[in-house]
Amino acid sequence: MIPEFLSGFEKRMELAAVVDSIVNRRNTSEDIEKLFEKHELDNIILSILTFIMETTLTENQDCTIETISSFVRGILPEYQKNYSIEEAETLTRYLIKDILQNKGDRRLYSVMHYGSGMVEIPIRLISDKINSDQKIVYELTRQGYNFMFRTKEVDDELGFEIEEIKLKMLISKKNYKKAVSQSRELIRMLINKRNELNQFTSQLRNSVSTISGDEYDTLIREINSMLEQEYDTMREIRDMITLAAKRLEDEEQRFGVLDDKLKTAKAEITTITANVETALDYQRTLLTECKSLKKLYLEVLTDSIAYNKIKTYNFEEKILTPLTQVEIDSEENLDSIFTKLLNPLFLPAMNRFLNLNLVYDNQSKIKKYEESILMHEEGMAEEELYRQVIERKNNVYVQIIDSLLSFASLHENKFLFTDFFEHLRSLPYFHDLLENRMLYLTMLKLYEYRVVNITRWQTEGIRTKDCNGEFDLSYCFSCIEDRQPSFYSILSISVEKSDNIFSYDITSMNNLFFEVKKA
Amino acid sequence: MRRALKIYRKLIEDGKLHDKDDPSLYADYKDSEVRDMLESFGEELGFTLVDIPHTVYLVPDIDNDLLSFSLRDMRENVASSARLVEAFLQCYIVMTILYLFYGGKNNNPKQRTFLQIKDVVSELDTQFSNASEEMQDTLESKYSINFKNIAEIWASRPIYDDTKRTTRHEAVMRACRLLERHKLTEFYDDKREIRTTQRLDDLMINYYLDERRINEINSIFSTGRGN
Repeated sequence: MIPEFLSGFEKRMELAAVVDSIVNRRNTSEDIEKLFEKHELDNIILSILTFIMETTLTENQDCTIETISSFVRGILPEYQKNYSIEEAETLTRYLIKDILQNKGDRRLYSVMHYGSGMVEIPIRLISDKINSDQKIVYELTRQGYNFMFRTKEVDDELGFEIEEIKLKMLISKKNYKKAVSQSRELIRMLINKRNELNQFTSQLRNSVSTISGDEYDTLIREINSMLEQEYDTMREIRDMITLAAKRLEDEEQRFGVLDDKLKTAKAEITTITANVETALDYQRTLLTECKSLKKLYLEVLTDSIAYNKIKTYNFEEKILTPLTQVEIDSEENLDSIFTKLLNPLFLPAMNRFLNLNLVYDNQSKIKKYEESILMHEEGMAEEELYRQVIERKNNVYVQIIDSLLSFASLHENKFLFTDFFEHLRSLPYFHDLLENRMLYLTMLKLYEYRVVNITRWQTEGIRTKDCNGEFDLSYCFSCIEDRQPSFYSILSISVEKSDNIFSYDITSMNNLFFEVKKA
Repeated sequence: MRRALKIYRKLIEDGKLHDKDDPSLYADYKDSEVRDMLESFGEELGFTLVDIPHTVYLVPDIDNDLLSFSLRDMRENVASSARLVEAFLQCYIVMTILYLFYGGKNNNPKQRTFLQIKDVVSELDTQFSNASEEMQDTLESKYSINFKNIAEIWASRPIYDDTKRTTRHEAVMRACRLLERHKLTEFYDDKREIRTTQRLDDLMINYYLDERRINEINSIFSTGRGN
């Protein structure tokens, strides 16, 4: 006999599972984790979730890796860390893709469902989608939103209805300031519900087997309650706020002018009116989308009944393991295996063989035709590869100079290359800087120049926007200026050779001595 | 006949026929007479029609030489002078990517929504390092190659080096580009990750992984061992 108080226990455990996914995170990178004190990354992850909630639900904007990264960079000084744009982006990618998205893999947690036994529930706090610009954008899932909602806002499930009542009370008490934020909360809830609906729709389109009828029922019930019962209440609120606005207008006409307090109230009423209108708009949109979802759900269910579910074999056992044991003794042998493995997936290659024009033409033309396609494809790949290589090299040079300036800003007057090198070692992209000896070559270049003179470069006014993959100080400055116009308050850095020797791995060179002039 | 040929042509050109993109052709396809005719084409020309809700795919039979790609494509994908072992490596990477996406057990084979290139490299690192420890050196013929050879090639390459085309990262990128050309995956996030297309999801879940293909899959490896 299971005690009544254990009914719904799995919901409590779901919350524990969510917390577990953050504090006992998987796919951890030692290189990144060691840069932070204990619990600091937990705080940053929660901050990111809050940012995603605010951006996507309150401001209704797209949340990309770049916007999240810019937010992370902004809060890092609170953790006594100043990261460059690239460093912040590396950290953000790690937290979003490796941790919160579990590298794209599902994360499961076993919870006791009293009466049914242990069940595995998927844990996913954020989901992504591709926007119209083909960029990946992030938003909270239902689980993520519920978790965030409980961590601060309220601890019950009355949701929309109670939030509406709160708004009504605030307006009737003329507490417009609080009513403004309360009206925003309502919009946030509605946007969240719309996102939830879209995520559900996309999940439904991808695989009906991954969702349960219960999930569908809950979602539809909640949306119906928001729409059918609460739409009238929202209209009442609109009437109340219109009345409040009218009263203020009368007052303004009577006295000719409003005092500061009333002016603030007027502005607040305008904001509330706009928010309430937006909320009503969202309710109407949800109504339409909800109808489409119902239709889609029925269609997919009908399809899944009409088409038998296919039983699948084990890919690893049947394909991957045999591949590790196979012995290839000829090209035909390899051709035979892989053509057979990939034929069912690759596009039919009819054009090359059965194109009528080619059949009637002579044999050499076929060869030429094939070669021209292949050369074109190869050429495109080469070109793209070359472009990527150049871009990557340019980025590394900018990273080195940016890190040098940012490091110099933290030091009074002088420091050694060894100190700077130690700092670089703690950065997630350290190994990128050592590739092709780019870090050492840059240092030697700076030594050749003797002075890294930002003031002179600024006065000359020459901006370099392109670079061919070779170190170009002017190009580095131009890039840094775009994101750090103050250049960390550095005016110039003189570079001198020191007598002692710096060695790392197989590299050995004279240590360098940097003298900094600041604004 | 004319309607069946039109559909056949469409399937050869695009590999699929979708109800929303070509409603009239799709409606013709639903006509049992046309469908029977297409199935006869399939029997004679060596292909199967994979019919899933709203879409039909043309899938060449595994031993169909007329409609298939050839290993030549794979070698050219690695480089004009690619050796057999490099072609084997490329093929193995492609299969590993498919495994990472669709290696899930039970009724839900798709286990990931995206794959980062760095994670594919790291998965291959693990697989190949295990191979080096476990596999024997002896081969039946001195001209033969096996998994250990591709593991050695892999290990000899740097992970990333801007100046070289033969890096582990680049090998994975090539495999991804090949999959992209066949409309199976797409690059995202400045080519740091790939995601599957609807085409790949449909084909894997509704056809490729079908348990009824087990004999066919087993037969591939029995010929592969040269027996």
